[in-house]
Amino acid sequence: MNWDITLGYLNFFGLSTLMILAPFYPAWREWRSPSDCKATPIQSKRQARTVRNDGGTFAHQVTQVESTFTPPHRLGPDAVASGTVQSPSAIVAPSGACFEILIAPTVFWGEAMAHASDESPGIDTICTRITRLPHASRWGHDGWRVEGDCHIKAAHHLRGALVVTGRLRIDEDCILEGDIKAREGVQVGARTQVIGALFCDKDIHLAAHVQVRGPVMAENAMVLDSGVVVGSIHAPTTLSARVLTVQPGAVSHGTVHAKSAGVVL
Amino acid sequence: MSFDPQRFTPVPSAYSPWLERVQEEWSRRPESVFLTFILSLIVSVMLVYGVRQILYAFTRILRTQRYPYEGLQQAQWPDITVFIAAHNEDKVIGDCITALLQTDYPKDKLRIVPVNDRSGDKTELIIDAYAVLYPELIQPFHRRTGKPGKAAALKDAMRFTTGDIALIFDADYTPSPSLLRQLVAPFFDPEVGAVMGHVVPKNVGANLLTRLLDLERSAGYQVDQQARMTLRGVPQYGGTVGGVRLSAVQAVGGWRDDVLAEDTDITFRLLLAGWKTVYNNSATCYEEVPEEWAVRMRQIHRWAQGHNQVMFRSWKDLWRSPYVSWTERIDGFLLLHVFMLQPLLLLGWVIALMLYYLNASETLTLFLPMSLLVIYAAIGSFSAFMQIAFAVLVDGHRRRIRLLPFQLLSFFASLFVMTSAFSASILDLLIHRELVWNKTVRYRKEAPQ
Repeated sequence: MNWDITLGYLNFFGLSTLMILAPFYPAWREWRSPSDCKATPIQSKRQARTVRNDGGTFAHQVTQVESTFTPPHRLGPDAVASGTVQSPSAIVAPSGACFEILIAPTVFWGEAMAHASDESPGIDTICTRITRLPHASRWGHDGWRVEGDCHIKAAHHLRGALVVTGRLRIDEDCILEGDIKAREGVQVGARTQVIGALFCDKDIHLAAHVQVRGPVMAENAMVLDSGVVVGSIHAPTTLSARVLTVQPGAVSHGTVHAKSAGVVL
Repeated sequence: MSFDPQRFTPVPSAYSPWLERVQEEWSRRPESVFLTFILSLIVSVMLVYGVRQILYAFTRILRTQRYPYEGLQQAQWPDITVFIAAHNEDKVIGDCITALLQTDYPKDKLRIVPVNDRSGDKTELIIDAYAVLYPELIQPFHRRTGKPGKAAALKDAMRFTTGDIALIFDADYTPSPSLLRQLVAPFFDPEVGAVMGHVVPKNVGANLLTRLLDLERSAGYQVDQQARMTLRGVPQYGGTVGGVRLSAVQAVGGWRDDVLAEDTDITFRLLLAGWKTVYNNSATCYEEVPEEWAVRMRQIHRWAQGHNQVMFRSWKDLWRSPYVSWTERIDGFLLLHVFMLQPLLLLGWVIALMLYYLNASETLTLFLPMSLLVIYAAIGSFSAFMQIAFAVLVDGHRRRIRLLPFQLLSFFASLFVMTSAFSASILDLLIHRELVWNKTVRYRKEAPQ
């Protein structure tokens, strides 16, 4: 009998067995004496913080003020408001302010307050009703689906949800009633009204004096020009993008969420 | 100018020696060549799924995740109907209804419809007691006749909907206060047809099985579903802790009551018509997982059989639909066939054993280079465990990863169950027999009166 070969086999089997069985030891111990067997906790909401005007932050709960006559909470011109800033009345975010989450019935971007009602298309512009979108198929109850890019010309009125698999360009003075989704980008012309939600997998650009009922959400960047109004005082909504750039003069109502960076120009 | 064959010198193909070997082996041992070819296909399929799982695991860890509807806190919330599927659920139905009543969804926009499907216990009494207390919110549906099963019951209950959005819960779930808003938020996007939340086992510490199931659920949601969401693949609607847009369901033919896995069925029918299914990782809800192996195996059998049924119906359309992207096609195809892996693996082991007894080691190297086998052994076999480990770490746990070796128990048990389910699916397809719904047992103690 060749003892060297036998010993070699025995060593091989022994080592293999050890390597296979070794992980079962801590597994056995964890099973017999559980040390980590609680249900995964469900995440809690973010804690609100206030911000100092010198850019520093400190964390504590924002007190909910009962009175509706609380003056607007003003961020400093160079404030960096990380976390959530919440106010029961209004927040004023001046030029140069950076933010993450702002929650208030009204958020004034820049010091000037927008008077959007003077610029809505319904006053002077007569819109042509669109009964059929070119290259579009019916979508859901009363909506439209466009494969590829879609262009809605100035002063047109479209009813129904709209899904665009490419880029969506809406010219000025349009009225769109319904929720909108475009995958490759959205450009909304001046003074257009969107009576519904607006979603995009990439970028959204709202030109001057656009009004959107909301929510408005872009997975990448969003630019709000001067005079844009998102939501209303009676119907607050959500405005969200990874990078949110806002021109002074815009107004939003409800929650504003910049996931990576938000800045007022 | 004409072609002169004598001046033409054929260039030897790189495959010529290999083809010659194959021909030679085929003439000597055709059965070995055939079996080796089949085995190589099986190994290739396993490798593809192994790479897929590794891709998902690293996507979850390394890439920026997609949460496109995160942060949607304020909106004009639409009318919704919440259905609770209940068949002999007197131990758990009360907790579910209580939790739904405590959510922060606007009460004037909410209707709760407990669907009591021919229960023989106190389920009906408990539901009616809640309905008396909250008549403006709760509208019970006591179903006494009709086809058995959750899909058929929900189909009948749809006439009680208000609005265009229906959320569905099983009776053993306890929604958190913000869950309804989190599930409804994606429906503001007109392309979304269905939404799926994140399910977390509550009875984790009951026994070894529940702890193993906790690991599996963690991998399934925290890594698998979230990675598919990030990669713009096909997140799956799971039939509970989720919702559908009713106009989308209508557009694709309505609810089907002849399916065991109505969730998978609706996911793919919506996908083929261009609607998206969205996974919301922060929409977390507790559930009760089986505490007995027999119950768990019946559950897997039902899932596998139902899933395979959808696979037979949908796999061809997946390649034909003009609304599906290539990422969705590939991901959807792999998802559809996922319950075939265990039967294939078993077949592969049998073939390997046969080749051993046929003394076909030389034939094996014809189609299976050693490098492929090594890669498969390194990646394919352990990719599922890697997924579980990553998921547990993302969840914030540590020590429960030590239980991973015991997942082999679960794996071996499910190997034969899924093979049996696959055989049953083939039989269902051939003889068009009616599928039987086996309800999962509940373990919570009876709710106080």
